[in-house]
Amino acid sequence: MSKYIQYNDVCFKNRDALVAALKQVGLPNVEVGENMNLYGYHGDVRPEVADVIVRRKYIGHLSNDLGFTRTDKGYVPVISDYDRSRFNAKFVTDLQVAYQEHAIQSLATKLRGSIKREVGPGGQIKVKLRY
Amino acid sequence: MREIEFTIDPATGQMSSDFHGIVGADCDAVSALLEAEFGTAANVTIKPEDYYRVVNQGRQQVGPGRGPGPRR
Repeated sequence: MSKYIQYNDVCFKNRDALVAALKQVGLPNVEVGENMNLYGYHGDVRPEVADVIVRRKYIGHLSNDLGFTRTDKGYVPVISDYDRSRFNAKFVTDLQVAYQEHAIQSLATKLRGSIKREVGPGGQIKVKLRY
Repeated sequence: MREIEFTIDPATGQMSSDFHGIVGADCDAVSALLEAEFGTAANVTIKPEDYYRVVNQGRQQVGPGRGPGPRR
């Protein structure tokens, strides 16, 4: 049985932006709730709970659920040891980048501002928010 | 016109932000909104020329009305 690990150093504050970011990185089927149990690849209920979950059937038949559990800091990933090869550092970085862009969009909406996005020569993304 | 310029490095996921024309109580309002979106890990530095910068780790605030004041 693959052990679940909670990664507290990666934090997503805005749940809606996190869900949108997950969709952007290829995980469109996201379950949102509170303290929902995670399931292992056998369909076994695991003691770990999460508030944002991508169920294993949308990941792969040998995978376990991918979860994000709510903490004081925000939503942090709960990833099984087995799935660390897929949900690796690159996945987390891509998710962070997608999250940041959605969070900026959310910020622009709250400030009633407009956004201009550019990609620099080095690949850096520049987003100007005016309000 | 107030402007926030975000720079995201897709290779590392690091984000930094430059703020222009944001003064007075608006600083606190924007800071609160940033915390709501990006969490308390934001590092906000307010410089005297109505400018502040946010990076991903730590937090520090300086600027008009927040420093030790002029030397006498």
